Amino acid sequence: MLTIQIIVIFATVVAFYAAMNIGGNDVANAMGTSVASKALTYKQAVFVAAVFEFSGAFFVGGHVTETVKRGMVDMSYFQGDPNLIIYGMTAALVGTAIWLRLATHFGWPVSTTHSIVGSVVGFGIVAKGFHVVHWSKIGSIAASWLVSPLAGGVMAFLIFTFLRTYILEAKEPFERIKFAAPFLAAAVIFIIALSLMYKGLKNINLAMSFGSAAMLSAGIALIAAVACAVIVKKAYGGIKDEKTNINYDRVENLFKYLQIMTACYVAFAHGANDVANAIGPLAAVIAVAKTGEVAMQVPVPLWLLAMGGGGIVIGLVVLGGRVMETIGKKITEIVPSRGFSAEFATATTVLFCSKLGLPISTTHTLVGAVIGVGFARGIGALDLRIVRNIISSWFITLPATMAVTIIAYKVIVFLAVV
Amino acid sequence: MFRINELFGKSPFKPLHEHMIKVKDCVDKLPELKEAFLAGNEEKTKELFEVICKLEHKADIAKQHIRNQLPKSYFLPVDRGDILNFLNAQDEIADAIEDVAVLINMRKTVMPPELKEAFGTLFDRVFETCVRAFEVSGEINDLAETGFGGFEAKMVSDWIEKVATAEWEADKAQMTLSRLLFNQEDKVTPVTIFILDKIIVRLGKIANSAENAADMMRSMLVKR
Repeated sequence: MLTIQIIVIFATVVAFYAAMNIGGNDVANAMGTSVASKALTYKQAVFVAAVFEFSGAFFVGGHVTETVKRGMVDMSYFQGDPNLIIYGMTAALVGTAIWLRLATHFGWPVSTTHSIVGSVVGFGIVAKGFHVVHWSKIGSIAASWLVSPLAGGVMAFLIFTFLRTYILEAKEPFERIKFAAPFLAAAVIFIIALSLMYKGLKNINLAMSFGSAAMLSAGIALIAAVACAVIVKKAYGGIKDEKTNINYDRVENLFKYLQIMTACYVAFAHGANDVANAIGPLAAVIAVAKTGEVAMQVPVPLWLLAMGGGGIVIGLVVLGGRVMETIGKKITEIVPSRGFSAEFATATTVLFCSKLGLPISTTHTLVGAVIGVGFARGIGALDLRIVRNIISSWFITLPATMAVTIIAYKVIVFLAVV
Repeated sequence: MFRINELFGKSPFKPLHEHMIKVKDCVDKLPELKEAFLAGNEEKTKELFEVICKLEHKADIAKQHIRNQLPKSYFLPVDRGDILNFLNAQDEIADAIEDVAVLINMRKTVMPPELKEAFGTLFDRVFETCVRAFEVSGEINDLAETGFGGFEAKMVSDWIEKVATAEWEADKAQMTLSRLLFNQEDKVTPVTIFILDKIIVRLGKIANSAENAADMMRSMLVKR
């Protein structure tokens, strides 16, 4: 009854829906700390996220997509029966979409990334059995889920401890932040530029060696640092700290501008890591549908990355804007210096894992990073109940998405055969 | 889906500052109460008693609010117990002021003229201690901003010393006044002595609580 063409179209629609979900839910969290600290209004956050999510997805999103597409299940077992990949990966998308819908409904802190990994594994098991799953790869992915929030936490702890001791605890914190701001800005810009140019630009046939990419990024960062120093001097040059009544609001106000940069950084890293969740399975479906066989080396088509990025942006605008608006309306419990630390640590961890092709949860990493700042005495009150919920979500998501995918797979195979 | 703002509990520090302002409203009535009490102006002391009761009640509500918004699942930059002890000490300032106002209005007490000056001094020293303590607790938001460390913490520590000194001055004034009071035992009725003594003790309690609040602040700075 169902032809391959119909299934491919269906898979595309579901993948787009998943991408919109990522835009509406995950991005809202990724940008949430910037909106909560009032570094960005929700409209500005939507704009920043749209631009940088798309760039991250389009230029750097390929690595993780490859892992989701064929790194977790051994495709060679499907040589004789390539259509099973089409059914299975479609079922995986359906399983993820249903599970995310449930999580959204009940407010569970479920990760989109964990869901898609569970779904793909579920498909491997139901289609060919346990042996087709690359368990060692799944093991390293699962380990990265544990490590990434810890890494984000430790890094955020160190960054905030540095900012606290060097700037906030100083006698003249405003002088210190004026001095440090260009360096901090340059660090963020250097990393984004380097990720974009090294490997990123090969998507549009402008491949660059690491050396030249690093040189060029350093140049861009230097220009940015000088520009930043000039702007700071012009705007705040004459303002000095008072002796006994230090104006910390002014210090935080400068951090606001730096947090706008880490907001871009987080959006970029998130796009790079999370676009795979939507288009990884779809890429597998399309590769098989196009060639009719199980090819080992079919690169992820660029238009797919663009579609994934586009879906995230549309979901972000349609669903995420409202979410961020609510976050922004709440009383500020996080200030820009903390937001900067947490976001810098999150984005760096996520980007690093993306380069390794490890699909990790941006939201869970961000939670880890915020807690790291809290351990450095940076946050007035952290509600740690959420940690328990996240840990239980680790244990529930994999079996649950496997189960939903297995059912979806059976239904699709049944409909395809009749 | 989960929202990142679920991770943030309500920070207790801004509300603690707001509670301080409410307690300060009570303290700000002390000079007026002194003038009216020393002048024997019953109408005025009664009026002030009513005002202070209302202000104390407001501080109480603020205190309850903070207590209710500090569940055990919260991870805080300073010890939870220190925060609650600080809050209690700060609240006791307002309680003790209310007690003084109650005692002054409980009975028509004629102040022996020999005591007036020393009574005025005690009122002033107590008021001074509170003002110093509010300088300390007024910094709580900036302390939270700096993670309770560094230059800001050093500065506040120095101010805490000043609270201790002011409280010692209040103690001395209290002792002088008590001695003067008991010297009057042949001249005034026992009930007058009794009630004036109670007022003196309660005034001392105001200064004590102010010092305790500052001390609790110190323990937030030390245990970091």
